[in-house]
Amino acid sequence: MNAIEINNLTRRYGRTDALVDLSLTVHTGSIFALLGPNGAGKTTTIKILMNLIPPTSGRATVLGVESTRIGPKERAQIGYVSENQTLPLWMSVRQLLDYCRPFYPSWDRNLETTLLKQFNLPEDRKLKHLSRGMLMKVALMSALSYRPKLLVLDEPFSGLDPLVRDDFVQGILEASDLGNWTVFISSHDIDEIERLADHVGVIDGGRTKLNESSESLLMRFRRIEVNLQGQTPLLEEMPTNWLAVDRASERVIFIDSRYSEYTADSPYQRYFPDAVVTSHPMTLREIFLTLFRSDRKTSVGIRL
Amino acid sequence: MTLIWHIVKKDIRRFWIGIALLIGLTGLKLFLVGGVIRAGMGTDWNNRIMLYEFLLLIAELILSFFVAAAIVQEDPVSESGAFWQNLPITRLQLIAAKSSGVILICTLPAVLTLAVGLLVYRMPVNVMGCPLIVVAEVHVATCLLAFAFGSLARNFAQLLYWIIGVALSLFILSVIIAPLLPDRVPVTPGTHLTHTFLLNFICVVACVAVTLNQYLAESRNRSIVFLATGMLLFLYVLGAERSPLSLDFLAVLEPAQNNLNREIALLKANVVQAEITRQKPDLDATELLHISVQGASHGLIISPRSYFGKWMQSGIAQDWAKIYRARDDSLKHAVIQAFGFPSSPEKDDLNFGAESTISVGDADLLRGRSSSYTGQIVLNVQETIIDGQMDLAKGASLRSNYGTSKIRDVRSDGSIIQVDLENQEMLLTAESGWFVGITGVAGSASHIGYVIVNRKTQTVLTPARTSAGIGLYAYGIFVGRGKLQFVVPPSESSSSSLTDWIMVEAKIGDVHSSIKSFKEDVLLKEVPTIKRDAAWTE
Repeated sequence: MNAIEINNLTRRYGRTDALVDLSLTVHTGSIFALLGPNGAGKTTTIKILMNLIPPTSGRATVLGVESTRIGPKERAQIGYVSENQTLPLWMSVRQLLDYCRPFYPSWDRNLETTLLKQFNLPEDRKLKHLSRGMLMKVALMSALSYRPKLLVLDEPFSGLDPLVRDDFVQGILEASDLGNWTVFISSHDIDEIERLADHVGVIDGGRTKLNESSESLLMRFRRIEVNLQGQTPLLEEMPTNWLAVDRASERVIFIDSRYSEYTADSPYQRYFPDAVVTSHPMTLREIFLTLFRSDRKTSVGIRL
Repeated sequence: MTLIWHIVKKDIRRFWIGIALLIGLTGLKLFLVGGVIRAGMGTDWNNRIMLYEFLLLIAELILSFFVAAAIVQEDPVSESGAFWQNLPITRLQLIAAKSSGVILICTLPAVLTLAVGLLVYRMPVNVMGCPLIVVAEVHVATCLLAFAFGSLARNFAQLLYWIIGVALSLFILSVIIAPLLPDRVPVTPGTHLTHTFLLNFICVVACVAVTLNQYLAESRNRSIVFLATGMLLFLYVLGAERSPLSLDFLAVLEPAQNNLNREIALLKANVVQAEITRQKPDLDATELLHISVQGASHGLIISPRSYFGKWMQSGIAQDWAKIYRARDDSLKHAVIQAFGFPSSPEKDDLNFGAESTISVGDADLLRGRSSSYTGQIVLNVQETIIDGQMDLAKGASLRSNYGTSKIRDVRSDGSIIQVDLENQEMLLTAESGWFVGITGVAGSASHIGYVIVNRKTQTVLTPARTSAGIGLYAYGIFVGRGKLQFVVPPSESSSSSLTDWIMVEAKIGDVHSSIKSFKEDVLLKEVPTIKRDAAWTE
């Protein structure tokens, strides 16, 4: 069973389409990153998954339950941390944990103690006196202590400075070792996601652009550098999966989005018969930027 | 249930300062009330303390409103990022938790009052039942408002915005519709009761609709529509009370009204007359009119419904005349009738005065130089019921529907009998208006009156103007103490003793069954000469 299945999900706010036929699958036990620029529809997707708002059409299931039917029983199995979450700032860390505990029959006090130490949180300090990074850790901790089957993080790195981000990512990674939970994380901060996610979904304008494992994505995309050595390449007929083509006097640089599909017969030899071709691995950030820049430069569909 | 109580405990911990302040205010109010009760009455500082008690009551209501609203806003339903949304609870559980918290806040002062009343002031249990009704009327209304506005607003600033916005809107709309309404036309008690009920009903329904919609349907726009509809209906019902569109449920539901209708039909045929009798010494424009009503059946009291009469010329209202009772004999007549004592027919006339403030020229017309002027007044027809009687002796008591009246002390110097009376279910106030003397006020249109009756001489005495009374009220606890003074006629001052007298409690009118108003034209009789009354005082 998949932890999350989204099929043709559409959500409209008045005349604005926030989501259009969005489809995604999150495998159980994976750390899934939902990437997209601001306004792509990430938070709307999560709100529908958490049954905070209903979809206009389509359906989504979370832990096998239709999102519109998610109730307290299901919510007790889902940990939810959001940048927009308003914590009760008048409480201390200890008071918050004491308040949350009775709501969850599966609350693990040992895990709570472990996380408290691991996140280095001051128990008696009021939440209003904690930094934003600390607050996110408190929210994460209160969401993990009941060992949820699914952890949903909505823009958790937003507003955090690099040091705190690193700390927070480390916290999530360490926490993931403590339990076998599925993590669904939405963000536009790709650097942190790269360290965390084993599966990536990319959406833009409410539409799915990509949905595959990080490993496959990183294998598939390569920055190709061609040293022409005086030749004239057949650039007019280049494949559509070659993105961001940049031609200098003696060099052509582009991103190949199907690099991993090639076996023995590479198309580079056909286009650049005697040139020297080198391929460079790309980071998730570079892939993300390439995808969005290419898409915005041309209205022609790009084969990803 | 455990989770609901868990949330309630959290809210109490969050707002313990407000709750403590609320308890403190209530405690201080009770202390002041107790002080006044114990200190007696009539002193100047008592009145000041009563003012403080009133201010404390207002502060208490405002505080309970904001504490209740804050409890609702602690887990806001309008805010998308609220923490409670992460918790595995339903909206139904949340509304149950919030209701419990708010009810707790609003009943706390009442429970405290009950406890203090029972344990400290040793008030009887039957007396303490009334606070529950008052809590229902005042504090539940406060809670409902707090709940509706608290659930509608996203934060405290928005809460203020909504309250001020709605209050201003109601004010502006009422100002706009005011010119469309008829002039100060008094309404019948039945109409007033019906419209008051409808106004309360609209407020309650609007508040409940907004709250339930916010919690269960999550549609803010719909809540705003509910609120706006409630406000418009409120204004309509408010305005309709003084228009031909007014409603009177009591006239339909209460058969006793039919008897009064018959009485009114008889009275309207022949009873009302008016004549100018006296004029103020220093102002030509002010007249005292003598208006008499004759022909009322036994047990009926006719009295002005409103303080104002309307003087008209050619069907157009020219001026208003202030109506008052110079001396109320209606209670006395009712008791005489009830006891079957003989009385002369002319004494059955029910007299009251009217003071006009029209200009000098118009006053000439009023003096009878023009026959085109008529007055129009609205009268109440009320039934009088004798609640009971008791000996005029220290310690005597009388239990009636209006509580237990107890004579704390009786003194007599032959010419004046002074009775120190106490009632723990109603206020005893000295009214200088229509009903002079000590009157227990249980409602605007019905009264309790006390008279003393000499069974031997068949003399009935009503309280003198020199009587004084004090009324205290805290959460439905009415405590009234009055010092009633009765002036004994010289003919009886030497012959009668206190044992010849009894004290009688009479109920005049009842909002729900035995009061009805009617409008009547007053014909001015021509009076050739009018004497200025040098002794006239206000």
